[in-house]
Amino acid sequence: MLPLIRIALRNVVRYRRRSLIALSAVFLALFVMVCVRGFLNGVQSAIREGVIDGQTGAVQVHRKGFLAAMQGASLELDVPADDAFLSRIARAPHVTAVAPRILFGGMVNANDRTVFSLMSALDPVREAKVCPRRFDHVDQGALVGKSAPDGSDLTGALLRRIGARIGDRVAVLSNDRDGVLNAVEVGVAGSFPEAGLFAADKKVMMLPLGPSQELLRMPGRATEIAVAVDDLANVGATVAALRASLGDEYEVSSWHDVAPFLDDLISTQDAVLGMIVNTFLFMALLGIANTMLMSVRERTREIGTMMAVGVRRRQILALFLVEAAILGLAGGALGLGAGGALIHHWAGTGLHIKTPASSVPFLVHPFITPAFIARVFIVSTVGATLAALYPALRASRLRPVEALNTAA
Amino acid sequence: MAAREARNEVFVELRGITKDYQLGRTQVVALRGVDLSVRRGEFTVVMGPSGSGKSTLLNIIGCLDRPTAGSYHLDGIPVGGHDFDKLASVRNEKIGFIFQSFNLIPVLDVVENIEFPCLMRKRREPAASLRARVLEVAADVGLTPYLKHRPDELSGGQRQRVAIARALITRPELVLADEPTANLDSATSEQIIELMLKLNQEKGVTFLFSTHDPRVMHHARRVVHIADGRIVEAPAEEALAAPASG
Ligand SMILES: Nc1ncnc2c1ncn2[C@@H]1O[C@H](COP(=O)(O)OP(=O)(O)OP(=O)(O)O)[C@@H](O)[C@H]1O
Ligand SMILES: [Mg+2]
Repeated sequence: MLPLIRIALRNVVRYRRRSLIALSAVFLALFVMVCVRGFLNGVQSAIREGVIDGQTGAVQVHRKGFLAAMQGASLELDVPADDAFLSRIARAPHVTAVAPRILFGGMVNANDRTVFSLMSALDPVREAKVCPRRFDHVDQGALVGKSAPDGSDLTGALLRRIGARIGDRVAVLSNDRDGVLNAVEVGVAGSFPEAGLFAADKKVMMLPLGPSQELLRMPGRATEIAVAVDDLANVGATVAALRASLGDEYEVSSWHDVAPFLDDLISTQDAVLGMIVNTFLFMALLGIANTMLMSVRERTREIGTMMAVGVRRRQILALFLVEAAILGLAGGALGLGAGGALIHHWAGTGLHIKTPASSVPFLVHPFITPAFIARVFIVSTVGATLAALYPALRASRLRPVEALNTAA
Repeated sequence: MAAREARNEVFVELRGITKDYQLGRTQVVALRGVDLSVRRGEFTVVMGPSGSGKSTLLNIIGCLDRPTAGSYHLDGIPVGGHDFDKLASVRNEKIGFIFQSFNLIPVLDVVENIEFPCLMRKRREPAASLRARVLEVAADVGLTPYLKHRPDELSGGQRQRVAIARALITRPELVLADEPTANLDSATSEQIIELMLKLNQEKGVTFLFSTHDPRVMHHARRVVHIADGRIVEAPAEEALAAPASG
């Protein structure tokens, strides 16, 4: 085998131009593959973290049937929000923080104007640990509960509609579980832009949990407990442990369940990426196949000579497959090296991406995983080898006399 | 070695060999019933004009091609039923080839070209002993100063010496040389022929050598004439060609 590798290597060097063309094709394909994958990894994890750290949390606990019921209209399906229940959840493996919430629909009133709004009642201290990025976009005034115990944040659009300003007091109205309309007065502490990346709703209000429990006549209760874990890879374990410890009364969901659009988005992106990358790869492998066909044609007499001195068909086959594998491996290494270097650079600086969905640019840190690197190497090497199968088979099936009589 | 001497003294035995080529609708008959025996240690020259079937005959003897009809025993064994790989190992172990256009592997240097047939064997000999034999054979053909040269750095005569060394490294029972001097000038041709004669006499290498150059005939112990695909008695052609050599 070794002498064949030596001959293959030297032929790669000898037919420099042809090898360079094949190498560039593989290089380009893998470079594109690595860059696009790395970039998309960054985008996807930014999106995922944006949703998990800014909105849902990694795991959520509800009363059984909550998610199936119309969200927001399910105050009856509540859960305890007392320290005993929260610490029961906090004891599950990998859990780093828990935060009770009430999501409900209500109205805000000020200056004789009343506007419907989506309400998120939060425990500011606990919420900051579970969804640290929830308050990122509050760009004016103070965070919920920060300056005053009843301080609330409203979207700019909502504030304009009711003609209120930071520092004003507004009334929040909502039906409690018994259908009775109640009201509570809270302070306007701050505001945030109308459309966060995923809060397309322009009328949103975040208010402290205490006044909301009072308003809804559900002291010590919540509708949702958001849970943070140490590593997203452990979500499954935490969900399983919580299901076991909380029993049938409650339902435990991962972010996959509460934000299914995320998985859809990611798999759509992956499919598009796959199409692009496979197209490039296909072209590169065609390049390899063509290079090897040319090589076999030009070296027909050499093949005949080898057969004359007793080289077996399998060895001829191996010779050309090894040559293609070398091209695939080298092109792959170069493409991976260059793409990896670019990704590494981007990872350090971060890329600011502006999306039409958001007025706030978000920061992407591209990355590639060792598993992906290994796969890329295997794909380029095995792919190149397979692409050379037809030329190599042709070479190995030549008839010695005809091969020897071919003009050099 | 003694056992080998005891075996068939006749190494090649052809009986009624014919070879047809199908060229579209027309059939070209290259060999029309050839009977030929080659004994160990012989130096045989196959002479004949262009197109007479010399290459076809040597290709069949060298197990590179199969006859259309007739029987071929090599070392007493009928090789007609061998598959490609079996023929490949027969070629590798028993036969050496020298071609008109040298046919060296361009990316290998002199030493690597010479040792190549041995490296392709299923069972390889230790590298050190192979290397020693390569150097010895290279010395026998006068290539010692050029061991690290690539074929494109050698003259035609030197290339043919590499080819001879490559043919000899496997210690073949028969070396087939199809017009080995056709691409060489006459002085170099003389040297190559003398080298082969020397190897025949001193090392006992069996040569079967084809040419259409009558001058070579003077060196040969045994001349087989071929014309139009048949072995013939010393033909008129020899007389025709004689003035050219004189
Ligand atoms: N592959 C082939 N297809 C068809 N005809 C062939 C083929 N090879 C040889 N022939 C024919 O067979 C005959 C013998 O050819 P061969 O090459 O054996 O002659 P030769 O004596 O070696 O000639 P030269 O001295 O020119 O090398 C010629 O008529 C030739 O045209
Ligand atoms: Mg010929």
